[in-house]
Amino acid sequence: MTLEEYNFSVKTYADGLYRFMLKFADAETAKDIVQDCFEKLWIKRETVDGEKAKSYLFTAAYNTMIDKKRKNKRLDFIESIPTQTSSTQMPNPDLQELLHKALNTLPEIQKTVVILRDYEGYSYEEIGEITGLGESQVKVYIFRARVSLKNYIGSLATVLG
Amino acid sequence: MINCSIHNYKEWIEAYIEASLNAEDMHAAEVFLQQHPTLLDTYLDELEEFSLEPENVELYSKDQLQIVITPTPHIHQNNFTEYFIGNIEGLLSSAEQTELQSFLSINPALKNEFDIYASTKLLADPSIQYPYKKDLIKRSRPAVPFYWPMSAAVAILLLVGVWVLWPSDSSNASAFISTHRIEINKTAIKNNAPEINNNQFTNNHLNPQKELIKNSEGPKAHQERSTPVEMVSVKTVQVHENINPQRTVELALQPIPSIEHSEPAIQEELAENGPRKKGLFNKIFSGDQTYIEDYVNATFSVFKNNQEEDKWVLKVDRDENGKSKRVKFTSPIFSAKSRN
Repeated sequence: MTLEEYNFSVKTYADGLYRFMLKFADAETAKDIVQDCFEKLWIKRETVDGEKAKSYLFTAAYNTMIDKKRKNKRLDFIESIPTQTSSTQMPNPDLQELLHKALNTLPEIQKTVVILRDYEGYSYEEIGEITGLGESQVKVYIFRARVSLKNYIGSLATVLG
Repeated sequence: MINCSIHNYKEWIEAYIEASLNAEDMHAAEVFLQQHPTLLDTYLDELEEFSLEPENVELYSKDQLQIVITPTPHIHQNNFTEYFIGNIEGLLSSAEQTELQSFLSINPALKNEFDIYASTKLLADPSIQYPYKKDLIKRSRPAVPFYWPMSAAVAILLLVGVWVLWPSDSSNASAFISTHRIEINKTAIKNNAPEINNNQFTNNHLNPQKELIKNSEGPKAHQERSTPVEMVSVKTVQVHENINPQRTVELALQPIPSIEHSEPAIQEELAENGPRKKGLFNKIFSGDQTYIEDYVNATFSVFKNNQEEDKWVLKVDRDENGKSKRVKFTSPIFSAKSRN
């Protein structure tokens, strides 16, 4: 990976990686993980293909997040996630907030795969490479996550309705 | 079983009015009232007030509450969820999408569920950006001003070190070519040097290709020892310099085979030392009428990049007969001599 490819990765993937981590950790932890991932990428630049940089970053971020969670069980990633404030008008902000709450009810692996799928547009195969799952497992987890999100939103809509 | 009687008729009649009795007890209560007309009159008003006419109003249709899923060729009640999610995931072909739309159009009750599934698609908020992106950018430029001077300094030191410490054996020395401008100031003329025909000298036919410029300062100057009488400026001379402490400088000029000298010593030198010296002499003493003896002890200012680098003095070694056998340059700083 060349210097140019590394800097391209910073410009292109840093925001997405940060948003991905924000779903699992508070802002400071997410920043640290993003920085760690790019440091690892720079150190490993001789062996990392420039075209695989994004996959490398998200895999490193996912593994770092898992490691941090295992090492520090008191660090509750999910509960410590602050409500994200947005400066731009997201479509249907109430629904997005509802989805954010619904996401936190999902098992972590389901949450991970559905975020990678929706935020980054990864294929099932790529998500499998990042998370260490099989492609069919990824598909099953995503389907289960969709059903859970639908049930959460649907039940809340029924109550509010 | 307790029957309605004169002792408990009040409870029975109240229950009858409220219609809380079962059908058999209702009938028993009615029979009791018919057998006691005075009681019937007493409760007539209440009986009329609470009696409701049956209404044939249907608030709900059972058909409306039931969801009946009408299947399409591939989508039915057992797999429509997979199609809904597949639609979000982008897994449906165009034919499947068309069929799904048909399925929804004939099953409007499922449209709400379809919409809820569609809303489970997460959207990334582009306003959330990593704030320290600039810190992650690696720049190649800052490394240049930091390392380049160091590298240059090391290279210069190495060159100087090689220059100073290189062994004197010129055979092992590395040679390079540099371009010098040589100005020849004839400051001394040997007593035995032939008189220079100034007219010939100044009218010398200089070959421009030889890059020789001669500036005559007048014929009288030739006759005064240690007085510059003329300057011969060789604009550019290719110099091979063997790097060693003595800094043997060899003027390795491009050979010019056609040169001829009338002076036997020069001819001999040319014959002995080959084209290199022929070039040298040709550069310094251009023209047939110029003799090497004219320039013995002359000072040659060697310029490099328009700065005087050294001064060479032309020396001639002679044999016992006084014939010049070796021409060399000496320098106050280093020895500069022709190789042979």
